[in-house]
Amino acid sequence: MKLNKHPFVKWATKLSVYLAIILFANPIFTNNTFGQSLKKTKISILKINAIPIEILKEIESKTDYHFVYDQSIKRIDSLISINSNKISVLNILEQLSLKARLKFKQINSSISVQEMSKVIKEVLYLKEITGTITNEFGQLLPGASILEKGTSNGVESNFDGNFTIEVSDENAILEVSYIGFVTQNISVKNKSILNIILQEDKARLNEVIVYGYGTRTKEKFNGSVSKVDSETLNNYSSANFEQALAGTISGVQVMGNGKNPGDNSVIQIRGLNTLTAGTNPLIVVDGNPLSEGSSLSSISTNDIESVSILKDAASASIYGSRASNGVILITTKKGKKGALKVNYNGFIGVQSRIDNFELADAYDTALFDFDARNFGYISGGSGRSITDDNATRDANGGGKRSRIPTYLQGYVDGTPGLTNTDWTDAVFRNAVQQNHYINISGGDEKSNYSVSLGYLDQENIIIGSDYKRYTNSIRFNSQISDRIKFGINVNTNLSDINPTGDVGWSNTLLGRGRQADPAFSVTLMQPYYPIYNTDGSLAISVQLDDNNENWDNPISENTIAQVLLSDFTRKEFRLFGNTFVEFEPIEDLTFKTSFGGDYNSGVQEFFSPSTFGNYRTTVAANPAQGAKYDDKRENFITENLLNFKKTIQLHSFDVLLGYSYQQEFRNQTDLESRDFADDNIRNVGGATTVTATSRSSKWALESYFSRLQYDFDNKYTLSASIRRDGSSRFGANTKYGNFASASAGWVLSNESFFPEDKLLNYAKLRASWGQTGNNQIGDFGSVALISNDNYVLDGNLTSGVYTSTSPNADLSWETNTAKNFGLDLGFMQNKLLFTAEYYISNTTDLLLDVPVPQQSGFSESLQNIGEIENKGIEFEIKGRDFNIGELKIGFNANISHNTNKVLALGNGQDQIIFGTTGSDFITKVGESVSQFYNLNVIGVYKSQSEIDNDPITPLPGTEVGDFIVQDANKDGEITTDDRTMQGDFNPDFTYGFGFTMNYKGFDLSAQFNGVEGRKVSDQLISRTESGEGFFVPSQYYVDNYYSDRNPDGFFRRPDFSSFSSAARITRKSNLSVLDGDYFRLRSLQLGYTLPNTVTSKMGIYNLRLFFTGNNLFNITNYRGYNAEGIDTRSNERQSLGRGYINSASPLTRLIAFGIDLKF
Amino acid sequence: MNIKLNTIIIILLLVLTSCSNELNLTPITQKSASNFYSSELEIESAIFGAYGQLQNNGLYGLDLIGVGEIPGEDTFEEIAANDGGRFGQLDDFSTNSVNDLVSDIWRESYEGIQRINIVLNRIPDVEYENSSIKDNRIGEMKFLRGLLYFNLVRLYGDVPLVTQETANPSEYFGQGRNAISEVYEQIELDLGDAILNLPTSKSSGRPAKGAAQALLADVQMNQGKYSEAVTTLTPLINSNTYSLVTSTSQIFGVANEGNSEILFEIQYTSGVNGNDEGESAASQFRPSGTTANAKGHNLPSAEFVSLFESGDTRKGDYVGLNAAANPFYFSLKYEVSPTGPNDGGSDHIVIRYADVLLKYAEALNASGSSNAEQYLNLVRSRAGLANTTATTQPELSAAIEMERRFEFIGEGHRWFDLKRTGEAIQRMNAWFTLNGKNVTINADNLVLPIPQNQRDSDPAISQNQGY
Repeated sequence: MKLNKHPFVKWATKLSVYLAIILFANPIFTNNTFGQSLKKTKISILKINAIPIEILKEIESKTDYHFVYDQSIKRIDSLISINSNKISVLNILEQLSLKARLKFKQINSSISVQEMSKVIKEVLYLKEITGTITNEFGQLLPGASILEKGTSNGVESNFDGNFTIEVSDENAILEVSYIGFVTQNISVKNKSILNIILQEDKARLNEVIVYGYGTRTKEKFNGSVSKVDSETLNNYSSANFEQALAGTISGVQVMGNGKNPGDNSVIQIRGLNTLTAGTNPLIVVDGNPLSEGSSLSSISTNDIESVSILKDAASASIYGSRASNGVILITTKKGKKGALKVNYNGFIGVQSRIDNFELADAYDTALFDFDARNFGYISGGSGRSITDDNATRDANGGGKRSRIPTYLQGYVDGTPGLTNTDWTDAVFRNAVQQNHYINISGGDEKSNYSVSLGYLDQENIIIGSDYKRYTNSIRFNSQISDRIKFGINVNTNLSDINPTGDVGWSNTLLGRGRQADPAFSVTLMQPYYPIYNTDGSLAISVQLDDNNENWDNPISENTIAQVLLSDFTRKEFRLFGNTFVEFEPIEDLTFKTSFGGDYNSGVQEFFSPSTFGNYRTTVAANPAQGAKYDDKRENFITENLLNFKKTIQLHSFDVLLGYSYQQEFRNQTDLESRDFADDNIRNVGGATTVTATSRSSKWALESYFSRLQYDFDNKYTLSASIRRDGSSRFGANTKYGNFASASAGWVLSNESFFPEDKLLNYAKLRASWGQTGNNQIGDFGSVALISNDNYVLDGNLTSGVYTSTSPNADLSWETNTAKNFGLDLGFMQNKLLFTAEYYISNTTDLLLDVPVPQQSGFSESLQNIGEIENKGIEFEIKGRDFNIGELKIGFNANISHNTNKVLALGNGQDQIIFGTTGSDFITKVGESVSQFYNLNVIGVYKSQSEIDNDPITPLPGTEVGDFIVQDANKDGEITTDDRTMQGDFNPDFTYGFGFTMNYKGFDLSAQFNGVEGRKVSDQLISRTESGEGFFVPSQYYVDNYYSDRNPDGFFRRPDFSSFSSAARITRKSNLSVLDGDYFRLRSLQLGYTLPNTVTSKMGIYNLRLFFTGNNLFNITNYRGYNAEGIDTRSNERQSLGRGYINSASPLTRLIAFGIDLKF
Repeated sequence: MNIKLNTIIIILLLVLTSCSNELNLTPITQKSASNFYSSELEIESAIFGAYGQLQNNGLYGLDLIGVGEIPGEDTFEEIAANDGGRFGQLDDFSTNSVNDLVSDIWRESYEGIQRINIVLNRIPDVEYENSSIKDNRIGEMKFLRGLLYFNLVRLYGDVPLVTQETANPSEYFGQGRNAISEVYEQIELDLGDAILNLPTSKSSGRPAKGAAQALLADVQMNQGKYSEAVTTLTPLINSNTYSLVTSTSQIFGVANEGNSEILFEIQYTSGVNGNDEGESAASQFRPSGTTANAKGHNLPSAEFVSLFESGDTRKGDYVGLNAAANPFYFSLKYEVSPTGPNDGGSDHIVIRYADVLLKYAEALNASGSSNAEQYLNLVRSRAGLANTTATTQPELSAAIEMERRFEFIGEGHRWFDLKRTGEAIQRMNAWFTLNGKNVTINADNLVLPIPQNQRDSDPAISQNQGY
């Protein structure tokens, strides 16, 4: 390694320059005794021959200042006279200083008073007070501060929460304070033993906000950060903490198809900021940025102290090229000073489906089949009649889909007692979920520790699938000397999963994510066939045999048999954590170096024996198949931070310099085989020949960053940061990029002009501007890659290759530039906090997979091109301590609105049309991203004369029973140009609200949320409402299709064999765009805490029993499983079709009972 | 304390170690195109990649066979709706621009052309151990490019013409479509070069001079240049490089691959490379329910099968029936794979000597030459039939056409034959009337629509008339 290129040298050089500026260029702050406000604050005062203490009290009574002094000051008897109508406080203090030899020192509004050149004289103590400090749950609070008010006399509570203080006044007031709790004033009059219970201070202004590389109080923070604490997180019970965020924060949407417990969700912060790059936010756990898109279920919700979501670009900008989808910072629970504490938390409950999806039963499906086969037959050629028997239909060339199955007539006639299998009922179940968590923590003056173990066992509501997770975390922090401390965080996670499949239905192709999904397969399970034979064995290939011989409709294997007979497992091991050493070479300057890692390993195995059939393949023709997918990721990061913090009178500074290097290596190995001699060895090891593929990739990111924060007098806060990122993912010409931010805040309520008002006591204005980037494009997106496409010559495999991606040496991140404006208000001593925000963000140089002319040999090309804009407003209200007697009430509410607009696309490109099987999407300049784009159906042609007399030329091949399509472009002819925009997935607004109530030992909390103005398209629905056969129709379709029985039906007439070209084109229409709005009770928890008097006898600090429920009700018109079931497997490149649900799992309800125990 | 501090600082220095070089990463398990295609071995791999493309379902694995035959009267779709109607729409001429087959053929053809263009662009700078092999490879690539453009121009009419390696795909925005005549000009140029560069004797899987001559003649005949086609084919016939195998049972099937009748074939093998080297026609072109993943595409109609003269060995050798499972006929030219659906091992024969002989007869007859019938009779006698009784030019023309229907059933020729001879519109409309089908076609139906997704991305590509 060449020394002159060593990054440390570069870094050290920069560092010394910064240090020089900070340390030497600002001598002015060292000798400025009083601030400007003392000079400006003027009072009228009339005191003749008064002692100094009287004058100080006079000032206290007329201004916001208060004086801190010891008893000796009271006994100073110099007599002073001041008589003035308008004299500045500064002037008075100067006179006092001169005449009574007093020295003043101001910290904010407190002014300490000392005698000059003074030896402290002895003080007469009058009284000793002892006491214990606990929180509202009886937990002892060590390290709380107890101060005799008006004096410098103070002590701290010890490990057991006990304290002893001698006070100098019979009527002294004790001021008891503890970080995170409301400060209390307690009179000691007539008391010598005090038991003080402090109330936790949750939504107050001194709440600590965790943001990138630092913490600040809310009052001093200018960006837009939403914080969720552990209590809120634990109200929703899920393997994934992010599910608990849904509806609790403005501007943040948590969605996903929920196929497996533990699957990641799609987290979208303030709209879609990208079109084809990834949409994963950056997740940082205790300062450790995790692998992109890595499993969030590795973190037990119980281990989380708080989650901070950086929503505005200025806050996120310190994370540079990875932050434009937002940043989620997770702080885990640390040990606290005090004796060993043990906490057990556990619950057990039952999950069930809660959705409106309903397939028709056998009798209704038979009516549909009857219509679909008859209509397909008679419309397929001339000289055909509905009364033709099957032989005639065959002779007329009708084929198997024109035959009327012999068993159908019984159903059509309504004969009772025929086989009527409810496949949906067989696939879904009530699933048990249990969670156990135990934590041991404690600490002394210098160190603290916390160790936890967690176990989650969650059955999927889909049969054959479950999830078991073992988590372990160890945290240790220690102050090894006055200047050095270190810490270790280790998180281990072991998951043992039986996943459910990904694809709609089974086929013979092997591959990652190609296993059948029974929740979707039910749509192919004909209700005329049984799951089990009469002897109790599984009915294998009963549908398929009948299909192949006779009907060409039941084309899939018994899905229950497939689930029960095949093996599908996934084992995951993950270890992540970091260590740091922090030392303070000189006062106010800290240097912290940390090293973190994230190791992920996953092994997925699949085996499907030869004992059942497959798509159109009976058991006899279906060989066993097996696969093993091995996945490893090694990610490490090293970071070095230099932090200088200084408060000089009213000025406080916080300067950060940092260097970070992170890299990740990933390897995937796939082993697949369809060549098994028998089913004895149920894994790929038993295969005769195996196909192996191995893929590896790597990325590296090197960054330098700096931030300066300045705060004056708690009124003005300024912050600016810059980060320079170098990424291996980008083109040779564009390796490095800069991301800057600036923000300002003004606390109006700390100004002297701010009116004293009982109602409004706090007001702050904030503004920020910042830049972030998105680099989620895969590791080698800038390079033209060679892929394999082999050929066989005389049966010998040859190695063939081709260029699979087009090169782009200028490829770089997309840049998001955003402005945020915020207003914070506090009412009624901050019992009620209100926040309003407005933001506008522009993403430029979009990483766009531009569809290109295909004569180039490529269908798309990754380029930095185009621009989109997101803007929105958000409101949040939080209230607490609205008490009615012993009933304490708190509440919260939020509402957000976001709109986006495409400002530019590729060169000469005005729109991108993206097609799925259920709907087309258009992303067009001047419009919002990914709008549904289909033909508009306005009716059904009910006679040939209607078609013939229509002044609009219908789609070619339109038949009776086909849709009437709106001539949107009014050219007199229906073509694909008549597609119209039909809304999008981005809702008009999202909202959430909730409350908490405490009465004596009881607590009740509830959180509701909803979305309005969302559109979705769902393959489950479009398939079961297509009327084309194969798919069992939904009840909704059966009730609403046009037929002789239902002449008012609005769906196209069913047709199983000869449906028209027009029908094919109208498969995608407004009818497949559904209303995705909902309102649901996201979580409800009712708890009872046993009285302290009872539990203390058992040696327990706290015992709480609770009932908890997720999704207890869901109000929606949506007919599918879950209107938010968008694909979570790959967050990448799905923005262009956002809102298309490929296959989801039903929304689930959980009802559980739990216990929380602390001793 | 100071000693401790210094120790810590030294440790920190070690921790800080990193390399900016890590930002210049190259792909680990994939090659990068910038430093590839520079040796004989790499170019050879790229050539296999070009052949590999032709195996795809959008080309000779499935779609090109169906699209060349289903629109004609001899084969049909058992279930028009199957697979989204991708073949069913061809049967009743309701094909629209969102049909997957329409977009797959288009996309995969151009992907293949790009692979060829890369080889042709890079190969001049690459040294081959044996320079005549290098010439042969240039010939092979030009043959393949000619073949792909010939398919495109016959299926879509005017198409964009690209003969360069793509440096930036965006450069093609607004290019539009080139006239049929320009495309034919390029095809003739490529095939002319191929004839010059290719060896006389055939090696397995690769075209030789004869294949290029046969293809060029076809190209000429499609433009009505019959006498030029005769000139092109005469040296091929006279070279005696290829010959008909003795029995119609020995042409197809895995056991007969590489026989003397084959000029150019796309090779498939079942059970290799993760079952990724097989073809799909064997399973999908069978009546539903008769084998795994049978889709009932492109089935020979009973009406057609009834036309075989008695004694024609082709009826038994080319067409099969499994009446117990399904009452429809199917082609026997593709063997069902033992390894599962879509992994058929039968090669797809693109050009065989029987085709050359019948084309030669057709060109001779059309250009007024009198010795056409002897070539027709070669094919007839191999099938166990007596010499033709046709004598006049129109009679012979009809006899050759009829012979082609029998000889090439299931090989994807019939629709192209109808188009080449200019009989398509009249013949199909008569057939629809006869069979009571409410379909009438006109000149617009002779080409497919341009894929909607191609037009959505680049509106400069115009749509064909009538779509």
